Formats: sequence, structure tokens, C-alpha cells
Amino acid sequence: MLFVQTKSGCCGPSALQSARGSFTESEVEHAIPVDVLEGKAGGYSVRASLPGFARENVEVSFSEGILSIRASRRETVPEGEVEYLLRERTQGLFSRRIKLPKASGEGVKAELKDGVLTVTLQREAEPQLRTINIEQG
Amino acid sequence: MGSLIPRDMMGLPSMRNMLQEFFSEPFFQDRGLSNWADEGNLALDVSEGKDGEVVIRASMPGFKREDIQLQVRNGVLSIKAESKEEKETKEEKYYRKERRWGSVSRSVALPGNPDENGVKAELKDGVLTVRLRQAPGTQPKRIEVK
Repeated sequence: MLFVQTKSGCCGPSALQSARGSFTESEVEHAIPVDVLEGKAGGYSVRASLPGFARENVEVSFSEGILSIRASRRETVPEGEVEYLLRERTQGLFSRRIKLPKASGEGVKAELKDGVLTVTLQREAEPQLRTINIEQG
Repeated sequence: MGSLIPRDMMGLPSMRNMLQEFFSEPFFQDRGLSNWADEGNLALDVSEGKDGEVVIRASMPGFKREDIQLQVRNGVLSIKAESKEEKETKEEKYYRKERRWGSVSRSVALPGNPDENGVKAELKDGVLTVRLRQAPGTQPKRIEVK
């Protein structure tokens, strides 16, 4: 497997954007498997598998109806351990963008527990219909 | 797609910009089935510690301690886990379901001569770590070349 390190280390918008700036330097982003469920009152509940990820290496953002999850896991041989005999658990950058059309950006909650990230979103309030008076020209 | 393609001074669309626009479209970001992380069969990391201690790490997000069964026999470690999500599936409405569910199992041959009585296992943050020490008296044998 070939891993190319980005210049600025861990995850975060700056690291990934500088990676995209030049195709030859971009690092592969692995997809995070997610479950998307109907939440309370028509909202959403998103569950992502992120085992062994530290909270500070996970970034959740929501904009224009798209929920973005970005995370980084770069385990190295821990102290006292000599070498890896088998290495299957993927390391590096992980991300996922999910379209949630009726979700509101207000009151979004995220929790990381037992390797599962749970994001709860509320449903956007129905837009009010406003009648507009036509002015006498 | 309808996005405006920036043109460089020559009046021709810059190839590099076009490709960047194309690949940053949500379609490519919302990865379909490529590069799945850790899913499929149970992914393991096996490493060797001091004195030949074998350390195995398995990604098991969302599993509880009581869902996991471990067994060491004849130098083989078997991990079996049953996910309780089956019950949840019937009551909840899913728009998308990609995370592993059901039961998973994996067996791996262990290097050296592991002591079946010297096994420690810990589940933390969705990662199962199993440590096995070598059976006492296990020494590498020197082989003479004649």
C-alpha cells in the first residue's frame, strides 16, 4: 500500500484542502460506513463506525443540507511492541458526506461512544408562506 | 452540472481547474462503494511485543463485551461476535444502512507457542485488544547447518 503524507499532519479542512490542490499529493480518503435513520419528529439520526478514533481527530460539520464527517486515525506500533505481523485495519484519513435535505443546522448534536459516532439532527421548520403585496406603480 | 468553468488568459478552459471542479462535485465526495474502512470481515492488526507477546486488535464498533466470544485453542485465536442490531432494525426506519450487522467471526493462527491460560482481552472505544503471552519455556531453537 502506498501512503503519501500531506504536509500538515492530521485532519482538518486545511490538511485536506491543501491535499486537493495538487493531484499528485492527495492522500486517499477512506469511506466511513454510516447508517442513516429517521429520528424523532422527522429528524435524522446518523451513526458512523469510528472504532479507535480519538474525539479530537473527528470533525463533524453541516452546511446546506450536507452533513460532513472527517476523521483521522494513524496508529503506530505502541511502546513495547516490536513489529506488526498483520495490518488490516485501515489507517489515515476517513470521510463521508451525506445529503440530508430536510435537516436543520440548528441543534445538531454529536456523540462518540464505544467507537460509534451518533449525530442527531432536527427537521427544518416548514417555511412560512408569505403573501406579498403588489404596490401601486 | 451547470458550474462555470474558469477560463485562463488564452480563453481556453484550464484543464486543471476543470478537473478540480469535476472531482469536487458532491457526487464524487459521496463515495459509493470504494475504499470502505474496516468493513467486510473482521479486520485485524497482529503485532508482536516483548518476549514474543502477541497483541491482536480488532475493530468492533458498537459491540458490547457480552456480545463477544473469544477462544484460544491449538494456537488459533477465534473471535465471534453477535450484533444485537437485528432487533433494532425492525423498529427503526432506515434511509441508509451500511454498517456491519449480524454476526462476525474470524480465526487467526498465532505465532510461537501462546499460553492458553495467559490471555487478556479489553474492549475500549470499539477496539478489542487481545494479548497473549508465550508459554513458559518457549525458546527459539537454534538449528545447526551442517
